[in-house]
Amino acid sequence: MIHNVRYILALLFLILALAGKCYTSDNTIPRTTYQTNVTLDTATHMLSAETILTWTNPDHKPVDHMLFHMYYNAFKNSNSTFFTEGTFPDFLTPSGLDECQWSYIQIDQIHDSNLTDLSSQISYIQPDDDNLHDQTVLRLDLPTPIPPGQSIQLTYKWSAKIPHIMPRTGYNKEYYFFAQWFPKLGVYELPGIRYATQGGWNCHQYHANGEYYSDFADYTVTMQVPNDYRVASSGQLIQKTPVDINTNSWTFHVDNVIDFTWSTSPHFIKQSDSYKDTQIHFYTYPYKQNIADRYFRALKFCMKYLDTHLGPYPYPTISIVDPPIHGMFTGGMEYPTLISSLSFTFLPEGLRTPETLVMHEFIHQYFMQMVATHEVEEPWMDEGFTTYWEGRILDEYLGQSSSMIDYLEFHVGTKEFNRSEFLANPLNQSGPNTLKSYEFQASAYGPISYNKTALWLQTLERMIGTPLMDKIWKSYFTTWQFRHPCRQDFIDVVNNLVISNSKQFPEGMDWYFDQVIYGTSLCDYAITDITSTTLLPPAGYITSLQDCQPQSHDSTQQLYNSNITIQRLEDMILPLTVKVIFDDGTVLYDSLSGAQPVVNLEYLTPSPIISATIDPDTINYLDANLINNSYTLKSSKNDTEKSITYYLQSKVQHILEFLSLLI
Amino acid sequence: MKANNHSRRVISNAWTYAITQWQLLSILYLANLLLAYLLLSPLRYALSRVLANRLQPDTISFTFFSDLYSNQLYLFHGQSALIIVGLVVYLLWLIFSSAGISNTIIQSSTTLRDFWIGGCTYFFCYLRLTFYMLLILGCILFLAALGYNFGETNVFMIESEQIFIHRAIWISTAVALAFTFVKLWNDTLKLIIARSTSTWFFRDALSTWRFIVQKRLISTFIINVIIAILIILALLYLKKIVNSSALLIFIISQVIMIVRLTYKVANLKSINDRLYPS
Ligand SMILES: [Zn+2]
Repeated sequence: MIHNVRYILALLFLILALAGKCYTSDNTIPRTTYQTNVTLDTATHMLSAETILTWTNPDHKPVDHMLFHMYYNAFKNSNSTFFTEGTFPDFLTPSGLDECQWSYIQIDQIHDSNLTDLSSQISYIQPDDDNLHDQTVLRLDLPTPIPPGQSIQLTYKWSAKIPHIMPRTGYNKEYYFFAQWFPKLGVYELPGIRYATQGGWNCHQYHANGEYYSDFADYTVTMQVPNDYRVASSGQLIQKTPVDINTNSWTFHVDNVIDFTWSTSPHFIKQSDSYKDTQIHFYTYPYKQNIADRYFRALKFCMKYLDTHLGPYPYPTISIVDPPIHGMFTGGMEYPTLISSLSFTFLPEGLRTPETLVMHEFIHQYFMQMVATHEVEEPWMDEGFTTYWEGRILDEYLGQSSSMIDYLEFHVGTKEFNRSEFLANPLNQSGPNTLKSYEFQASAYGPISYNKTALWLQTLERMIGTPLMDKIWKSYFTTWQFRHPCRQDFIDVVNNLVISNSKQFPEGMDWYFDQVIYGTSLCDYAITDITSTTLLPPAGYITSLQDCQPQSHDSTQQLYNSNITIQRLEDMILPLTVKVIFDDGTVLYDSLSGAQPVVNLEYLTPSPIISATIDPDTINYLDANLINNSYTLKSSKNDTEKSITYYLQSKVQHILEFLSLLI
Repeated sequence: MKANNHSRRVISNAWTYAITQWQLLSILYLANLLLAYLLLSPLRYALSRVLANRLQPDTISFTFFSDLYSNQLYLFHGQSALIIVGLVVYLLWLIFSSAGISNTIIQSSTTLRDFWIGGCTYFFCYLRLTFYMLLILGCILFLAALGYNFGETNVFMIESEQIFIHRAIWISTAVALAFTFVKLWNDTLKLIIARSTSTWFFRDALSTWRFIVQKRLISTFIINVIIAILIILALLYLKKIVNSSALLIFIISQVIMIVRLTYKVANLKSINDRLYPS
């Protein structure tokens, strides 16, 4: 009986847990709304604003406090966590420029819908470290907790000093770019969302390495800017009216996005194009307006590709800002329905920076904007996924061998680029993909989050086949769009589809993820030796004592005993195929588990081996050295070597002769 | 009209002369070929070990080099030291051969004897000239750097990168012009030194400018450069269309090298013939 009671209790608990999980996708909880009126003072570089925020408690328990990102405070002084971690480029550190570069953001006054003043309920907390100087997370204690399913409406007046040339945001000259610029709510994670076991806020401080995490909301933002300024913004322009002789008011609106960003300058020129129902707006300075065509072509190709392979882009606009050179500190970033790129006027067509950047940042609209993963806790799930898709689309758009660079003698494709970025980095084994962005050793963050992930996704695609991989992506996107998945959610999608569709991997892919997501090992298989020895046909009394067979020297009856030695030089274990070519033209394929450190393949054949190749169809992009993947007994001097020596010989000759200019 | 005809004749004579100096050209070419070959020996050996028994990829891709770099780093060790030694050795050879070429031209010789004698006789004189040449070039580059940094260089302080481009265009044009004059002065002075019996180096160095203006050497010099550039461009175009064969590309590169060496001889010969018409 007691057993039964326990059993029933366990069952009840399970049902409740499942109910909790179901509640996460409950569409009855209204989305958060931000209504902001902000005035930009270009003389003092200040923002003054009022925001009306409506938030509904999605939990089954009351919520007694709220957390906000106050990320402009990362640039408040050199004691912030952002600056003490200090792994950002040197040129972005405050220099001896005349102006005070530092910035801040503060809530000046806050009250709820009953006009109860909550200003004294504000404090700064440091959930990630003990740095009491850091003021990038604000806590608002509510005198009356918000009951489950009930909403709170907060009205707050806030002001911010705009940073001057700081990473990703701020102003320089007359160019302004506003990212992480307003008090933005953290994410209230219900049990079942990502790693949450009970409802609570997820709100990180601003770190030097890494990006952001926030929840879906509807935004209406009205900006008051000088009347010669043009505004580029997330969302759609719904109204532009003059406020007075000197000021215009621009109102933008967008639903169901995780952030809101805008930029303004009196020098912006705007060019537009469209893809299906989406308006594409491009903003830049007049001197580089000619680049627009490269952006539009690349972006429309990318939008079509993702539309086909993942699902439609549901927003009515996408805006691209290509900053002037003095605004390059804001280039190459992704924000909902607004992306920033970077180009230079003298950039040749063969250097693909504009195409790469615009595609990369647009793909983020899918991975981290619609599928809103945690960029700080699991950077590979947005950056790695994006790099993988960027490679696929660029390869299709510009050709595999030159999709990154196609200039003079330099041709680099995306896969080659990812391999060299990851493999040539000395810290490539310094941590698994599971590290939070700020836990990486500085220069390892990129190679591991971006390039390694792209490589193992490309390898996964080649192992299970592109059609199944496409199915996985579509399923992952459809299931998780407008939600917050974590790595296990992705792994589950892969496993479910691989188990039901792949004959080769009936157990799923956990063995793979254990190595590539949770592990740090590298992969390198090599053929270290091939031998072929002649075996004479059998002679002597073989069948009976009456029949003594003489030793035949007939070459047509000769057999060859050939051995191939394959070594696993690193710890990663991947199944591999070996292609063996014999002298008579016979081709054999052998499949190996790849687990043993050394494998000897033995063949008894009428013809000797000419050559063998590991992974002949290039499935494994993780293999660190492709040169040792083959072995041949046939040619002593190969063409590659000749080409390289010829090439270097003439280059050195010509370089030497340039010295004669001095004589 | 008469002057033009004369100039044309001098240039065509000079190129014909240079082409027929096959012994001289062979020495210059072989020295260049051999030194490059020796410099690359360690790398060639290491490469042959790495690639021994390996199947060749279809094309030499970025991946091939990045794998070579990531996995066979030792291949590149010691290369930079070797290259510096090689550059110094070749520089000394260039000084010697330059003196040799000048003497061959002055003596109107067709044998190599005067090349070796000239090389030995004027080596130290030409070494000194090279030192001054380096000094002058250093000054030109210093001034260029100064000019480039004269305006704003902080990217956050400028309106657009066009400033850099415009500045770079102006400064590189100025450097190219200055270099052209200095190189012409240098070539002319080499011949004057080899002809002159005086040891008044500085007097010769200054009087060279008078000769350059009087004899209108600049036009001869520029025509020679244009001829060499046109031939090389044609060969580069040929190289582009035979892009598939490593051997053919190598052969064309060697022809380009021979053109460069021929130009060197032809240029000195034409300057000599304008300075000292027979
Ligand atoms: Zn990214």
